[in-house]
Amino acid sequence: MVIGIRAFLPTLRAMSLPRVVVTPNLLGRTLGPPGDRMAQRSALLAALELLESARAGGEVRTIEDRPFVPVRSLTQRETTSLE
Amino acid sequence: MASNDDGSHSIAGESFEEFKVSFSYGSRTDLNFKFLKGLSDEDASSFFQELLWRLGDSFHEGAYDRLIELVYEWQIRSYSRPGRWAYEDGPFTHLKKPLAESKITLITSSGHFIDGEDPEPFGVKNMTQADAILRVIEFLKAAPSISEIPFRTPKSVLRVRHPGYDVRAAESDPNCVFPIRWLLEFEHEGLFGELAASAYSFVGAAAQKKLLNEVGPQWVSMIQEQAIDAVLLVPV
Repeated sequence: MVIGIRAFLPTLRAMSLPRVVVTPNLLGRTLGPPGDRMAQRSALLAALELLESARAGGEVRTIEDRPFVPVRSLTQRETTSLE
Repeated sequence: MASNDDGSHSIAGESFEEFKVSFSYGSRTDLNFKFLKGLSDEDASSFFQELLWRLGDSFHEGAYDRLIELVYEWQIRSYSRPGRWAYEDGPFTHLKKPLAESKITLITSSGHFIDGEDPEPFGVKNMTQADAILRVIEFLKAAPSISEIPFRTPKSVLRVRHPGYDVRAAESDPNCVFPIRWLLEFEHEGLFGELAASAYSFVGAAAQKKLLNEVGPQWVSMIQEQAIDAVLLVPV
């Protein structure tokens, strides 16, 4: 049962690992950011669930929810024409 | 800035290519940004432009999550390659008993160890994180050694050192990559049968063939001797 970050997904798939949970985190924070109890526990819970429920090899579960909330609002890029 | 014959630019003799690569074990080593080496010059240029845009936006709004997301997106773009370890199919085994009766352990490539039980790579005592980064090539040529860490080990005696990633998060909160605290809680909550006595950690920046052919089989035997039913693997 492997828990890995999204950036490693192609590698993890290519290895044909039996069970994989993919997390939306940075390198060095596989389970979640420091102090983010919910994100870290959620990744582990997904892994434990897959451990028992998988019926064949190659199952990959992706945790989509970001442990951080991207801010989408007015940006300099959208307001400034440089060219 | 001067223009080179090939149209690229350089500052004091350094090309953009050299600048970009210098973040990966070069003069500007920064393991959070070593992914720049894997980007084309054009993509790296786009990253820096976007980084500055978002930084300016963050100054304006006082919110910095967008910077984390940017690095996250570009780490994916840089690291998302299948690599050389590709297999047509892999082994699959059903749990031999329900999870509620299973014995679980954890193996991570985070590089944690207990204070006083330093694996002392290459015989070096008290190797610092900075020293480890400087010796990354040696790590990549050596078989990894595994550190046994009882699940009930307090955070205060955990140490971490790894030449492949910025360990500050793993140092301040080991559960980022070595989630022993949550596994103890889950055991208490009855989510699985029991934990093994110890979890394990090693430095993943190691000779992969030696890991596969030499130490890996030894570790499997070690797990089997403890009648462990399942292992959670956390690559870092």
